[in-house]
Amino acid sequence: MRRHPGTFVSGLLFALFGAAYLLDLAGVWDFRPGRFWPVALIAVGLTIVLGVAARDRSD
Amino acid sequence: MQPDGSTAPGPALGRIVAGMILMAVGAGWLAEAAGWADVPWRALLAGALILVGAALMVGASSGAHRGLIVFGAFLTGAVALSSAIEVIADTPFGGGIGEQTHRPAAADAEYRWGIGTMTLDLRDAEPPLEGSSIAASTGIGELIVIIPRGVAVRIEARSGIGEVVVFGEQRGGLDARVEWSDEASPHLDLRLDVAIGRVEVRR
Repeated sequence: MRRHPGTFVSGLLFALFGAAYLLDLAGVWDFRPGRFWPVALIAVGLTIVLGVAARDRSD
Repeated sequence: MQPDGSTAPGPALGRIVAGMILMAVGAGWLAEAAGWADVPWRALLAGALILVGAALMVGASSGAHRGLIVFGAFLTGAVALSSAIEVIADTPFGGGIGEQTHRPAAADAEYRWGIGTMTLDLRDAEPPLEGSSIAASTGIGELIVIIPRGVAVRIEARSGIGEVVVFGEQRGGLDARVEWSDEASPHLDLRLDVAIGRVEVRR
């Protein structure tokens, strides 16, 4: 994660989306992707924050 | 060990993930062809997405893995569309084009419409409607069902891409579904499908 926060956050999002969809298929959770679009904003913010933190550490 | 001290396999990660997914798809295909199992392909698709996500999280220290991110984005689209595609594939597109209104005298029937608006007005139907079942679908367009007051219903309404409104309860987007069941029984069972468009049920 240290060098490529965007890759890490993308992976996290893919894994969460896949898990949510599996829970929906299993009937455990009624997953409606449309409700979760603000997660994209959170992901972009998280990528920026992790990128800044990684740069500070490497300086 | 990489020259820069990282230990993850770098570009090989994408090949490892692709190999694992190919093996899973091959095993599933073989199991289905041999009649050993009915493979839940949609669950397999979601599992592949989780695998890609986990690989990216692990591999983030060794490289950007842009190819794997693109593959993950493609899988996300496929997962999101898979349920909508199921509804679209299940819905017949035959029947006609334009506007159609049915005022049946009895329940227990199927109504299909291709493109346009189909209205199913059950207010003139001979009571009791409870204990009967109706299936109705529209390929592309709108399906409106009007239920007489006081009739207990159990409804499963789906739209592959579009909107479903059942007695004011609204869902929209891909694979929009509303299930409704009145407490009283027996019910009039309604199975309502629109591939692309809108389903509305009102009294």
